Amino acid sequence: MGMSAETGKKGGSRAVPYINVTPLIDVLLVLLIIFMVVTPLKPKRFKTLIPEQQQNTPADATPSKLTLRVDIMKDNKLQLNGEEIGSISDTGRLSATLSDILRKREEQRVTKFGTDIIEKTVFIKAPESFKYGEVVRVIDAVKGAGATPVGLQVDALEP
Amino acid sequence: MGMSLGGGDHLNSEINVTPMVDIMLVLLIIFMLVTPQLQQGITVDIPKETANADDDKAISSQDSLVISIPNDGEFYLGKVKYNIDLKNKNDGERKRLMDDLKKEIDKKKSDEERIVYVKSGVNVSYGQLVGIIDVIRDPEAGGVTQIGLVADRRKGIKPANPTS
Repeated sequence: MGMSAETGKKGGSRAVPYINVTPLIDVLLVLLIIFMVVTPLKPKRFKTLIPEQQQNTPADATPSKLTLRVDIMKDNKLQLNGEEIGSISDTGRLSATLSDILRKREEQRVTKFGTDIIEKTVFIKAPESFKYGEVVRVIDAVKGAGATPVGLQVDALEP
Repeated sequence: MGMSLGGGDHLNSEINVTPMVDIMLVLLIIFMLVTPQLQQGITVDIPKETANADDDKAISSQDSLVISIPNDGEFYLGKVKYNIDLKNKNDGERKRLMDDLKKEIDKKKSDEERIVYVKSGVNVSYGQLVGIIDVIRDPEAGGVTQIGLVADRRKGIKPANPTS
């Protein structure tokens, strides 16, 4: 701070400090950026339903005509109710087909027995040796097509 | 701030960078110390590129039950570890998890709160997930049938058919 004060009170030797604002703004901006990066992200999840534990062998469950089941086969291919329809890396067809089916159900008001909720349940079955990441891709596609709820079959899976 | 008046009326302000750098370094150090405490729970490599995972802020709440599976064979309920052998139905650790789960589930008042979140890593075998789901739905663990699979969504994408 250059200041030349002469002795005596010639014209007043007041020091006039002025704050340089630029560095303050820089610091604020950096703080803002750090907060934006570091704040914990909004957590997200796929809500899925699982069948209740059955004491007796599950063979007595008779599938209804409305059941939609996606099977992930060991060779990465997908099946919708038995029909081959794409693979884990290519879920487009599965999404499109499911989307169609579920939309038609919405239009025709196909509901669950005894209620007026549209039947949009889709079950997913995968072999136990698969990686979770692969199965999530299928869950993602099925959910995106409008399935609700997404059901996971956890009994009688292939190894 | 060097300023010379008189004669030509030109101002020359040079910003002294040193104090700025000092402040930045102090801030950096503060954040390096604070950030690890912001992260709760166990680090898990969850799926990150989904298109349809729904927001659910209950996941980070203290009351919610989150089972983390960072790798095959490692199970955490919150921050507590369980070394469960899924092949053994009478495993002691399995029983311990079921007991602890039941204690927490019994505190839940409504059906909507009876959900267990599972944070599994992408490379965990699906069989491990199935095994832990089997533990979760066991009546001795509270018999919960709603599972929230924790995953991240690609930025900028809104889920197509959001379920709350």
